[in-house]
Amino acid sequence: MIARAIAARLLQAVPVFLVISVLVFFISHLGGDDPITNALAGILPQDAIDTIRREYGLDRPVWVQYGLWLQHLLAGDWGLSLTLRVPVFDVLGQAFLNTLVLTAAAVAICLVFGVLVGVVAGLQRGSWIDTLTMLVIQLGHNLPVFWSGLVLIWVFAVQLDWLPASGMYDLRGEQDLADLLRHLVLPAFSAAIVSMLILAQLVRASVIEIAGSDYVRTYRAQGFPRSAIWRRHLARNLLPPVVNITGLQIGYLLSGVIFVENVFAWPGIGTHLYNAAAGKDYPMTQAGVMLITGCYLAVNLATDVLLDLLNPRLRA
Amino acid sequence: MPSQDLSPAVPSTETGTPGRRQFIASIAAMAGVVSLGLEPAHAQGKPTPPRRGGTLIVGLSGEPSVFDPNRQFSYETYRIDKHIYESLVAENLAKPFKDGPPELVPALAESWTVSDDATTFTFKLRRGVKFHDGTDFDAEAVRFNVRRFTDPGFEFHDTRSAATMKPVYGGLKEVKVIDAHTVQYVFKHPYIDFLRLLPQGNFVSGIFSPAALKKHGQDGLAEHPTGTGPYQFVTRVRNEKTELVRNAAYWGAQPHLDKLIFRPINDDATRLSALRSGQLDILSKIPADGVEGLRKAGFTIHDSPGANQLFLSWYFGNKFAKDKAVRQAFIKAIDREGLVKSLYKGLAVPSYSILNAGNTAFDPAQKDATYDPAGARKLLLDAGYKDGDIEFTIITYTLQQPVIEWIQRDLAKVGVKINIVSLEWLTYASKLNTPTPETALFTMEWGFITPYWLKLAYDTYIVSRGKGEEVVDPALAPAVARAAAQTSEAKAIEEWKKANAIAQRDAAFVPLLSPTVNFISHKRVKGFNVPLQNFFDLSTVSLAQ
Repeated sequence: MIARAIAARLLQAVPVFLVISVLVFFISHLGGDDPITNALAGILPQDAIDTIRREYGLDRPVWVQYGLWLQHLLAGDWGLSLTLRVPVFDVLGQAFLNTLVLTAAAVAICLVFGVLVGVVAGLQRGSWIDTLTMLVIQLGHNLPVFWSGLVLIWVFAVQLDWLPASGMYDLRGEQDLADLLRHLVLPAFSAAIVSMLILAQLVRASVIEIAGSDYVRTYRAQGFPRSAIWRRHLARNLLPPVVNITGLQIGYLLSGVIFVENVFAWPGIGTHLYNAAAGKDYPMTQAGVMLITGCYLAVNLATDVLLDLLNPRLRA
Repeated sequence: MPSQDLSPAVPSTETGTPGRRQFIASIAAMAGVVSLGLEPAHAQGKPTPPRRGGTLIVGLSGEPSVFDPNRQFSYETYRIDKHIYESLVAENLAKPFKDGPPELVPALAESWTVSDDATTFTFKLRRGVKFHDGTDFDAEAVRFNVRRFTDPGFEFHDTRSAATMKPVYGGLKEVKVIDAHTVQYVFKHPYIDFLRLLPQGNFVSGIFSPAALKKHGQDGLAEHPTGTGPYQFVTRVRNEKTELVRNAAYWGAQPHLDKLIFRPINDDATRLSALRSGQLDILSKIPADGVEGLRKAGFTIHDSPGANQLFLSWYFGNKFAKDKAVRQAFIKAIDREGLVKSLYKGLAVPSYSILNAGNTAFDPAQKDATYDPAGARKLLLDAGYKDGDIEFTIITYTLQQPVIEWIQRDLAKVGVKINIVSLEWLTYASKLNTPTPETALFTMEWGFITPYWLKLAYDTYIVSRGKGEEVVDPALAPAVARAAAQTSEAKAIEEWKKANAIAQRDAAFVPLLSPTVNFISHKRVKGFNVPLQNFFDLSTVSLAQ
């Protein structure tokens, strides 16, 4: 039963992917601008430009172009960047991994601190800790990441000199895992901050709801100690909403990371995509958008599957 | 008159908001406060020999273009790959800017002779020089380089390089190999500026290894740059770094540093905090708000006015750009002194001539116009324009967007509506060739110390921008040609000034300002000299312990 549910979800992802790929492909053709002409007009004579347009297949019907593009995309051949004249994969591949590293770290921070803060505030409902937390959450909700990032750099890198101000590695140093982690702290934290507060708020509400539920009251009436009830039931019932909201927040984090990358000079895909979009470099834009789309789909799929697994009613 | 006509247009992209600029200032100020009094009081006295070894990290304001001498553009690119590729002739970049233009010195050519009519240049090449790939540098290699961008019949001819290099080599008749170590360039016309143009950061004549080009192809050379310079290429990760390592087989004095790393950082505040926190050793393009704080914190501020200039150039295809009255009014309407004082915090000087202050033909008495909004308004009225009739777009790269916003406000005061399109530098550069019809002006930032710059600017920004030669004063073209063909430098300078006067009368360019602070270094950096140029030599730089 669970296997069927998962298979169904996998199948659902395929048409979504195709629809998005059609959108991505055609939207980038809507601009009307021909990127080759754009980049080379005045540099090369028209016949040379036409030759290059043929090389890129830009003279063929647009559906044929789409088919070829999808085929190449799936085969890992992302084409040549129109403005940089190097394979898109060479530019985006490593950069995308860097973005994933930052996103993963942000998710981890978001999860650990979001749940921790939410649970503590929820269990201490009405106390000064709870009030303070709620205040911070209300204020922090609207923090733009580029601002909070700058504040973190100013305090922890420039003033205190505890952590590096930017980049992914110390270019003079060993460039090992410890170095990476040191460089991750500030950008991951500033990427995570808003999602973390949202998660904390939600967890707090769930904790309060669970604490006030009938079965908890019944257990209490039967004389079970509060700590035992929480140990056994709180975490379990908290999991589905946490998984759900985290899944949603990863999408938000991924887009936020792109701003954070700029502030921390993190070598991810953000700058590449911005430049590619502005320069009508559509092999690059398309590959980048499809990568992000793939991530969204994967995260959604993983969230759904995880929820299925957590649902005892689906167990055979 | 309705006041909404005067309201400035909303810029198309939003980057440096006032809040951020203040933030930069406060980072810099705090930095100053914290480090005050920490400066060690000792030493200054006896010179110690430069330390050998270490890695120097240079911060760049943006991603370099391509490491291919004949295709590249942007000084940030040349500041890197001038250490990879060398020209036949170099400039003495150890000379401080205040001592004037750097003189020409031998590089890959040990000596040279110039014919009396200044058409024929014969170079005796340095012997025993090898490219980084181990192949020999000789006269054939030089000829291969030049044929790549001048000889359409050549197997390795490259149209992109030819287009880029044409302004300097357009008049080349032939390049001759006299013997294995002697090469001769023959031009169709006298060309006294040729030697000076060899070691420049635009139209770069650095010599690449022909074997590398054959191996990696026309596009591939930029990914595997191979020259003869004191440093050789290791890796480039776009948006992260470019790494060079010392060339142990270098023909000249061994450089002190083992490694050079160049890091592009787009964000102003990030670049500043990277320098502040010690991640960078040298930085170009510091936001003016940050300079004072860095000075107080013990960083070395290198004043270097004159080699560079920020200016706007016209797209003569635009209907307003075609109108001389509009062009003249535009210049009169800009408060260049105010711009320098407030936006640049006094760290720039206003420009009134396309010949930058460090140019040998620069004459401070030659001014195109002074700030005169009433005069500008009158010019427009006399030409039949009412408030709001004129609206056009200026495209710029993000770094100079605040300057264009300033101009937008100034122009709104005389009833001209400016729209701004702001793009990151590389994207901007790729768009310059295909302007929309609404676009009347674009931002540029460079300059030369040779007055031949006026011809380069004429060819690049008037002739190739919407047939500007049919729009501007017809006396300009022959005046420029006459100046370029002189065989005596003194006579040439007089002619260049005459040509410049015509360009100024016609408002053919819009000079804005020359920044005075272009480079900042950490105090551990020793031997870093900023010459009267837009680039520097890092082979003499060392790092203190």
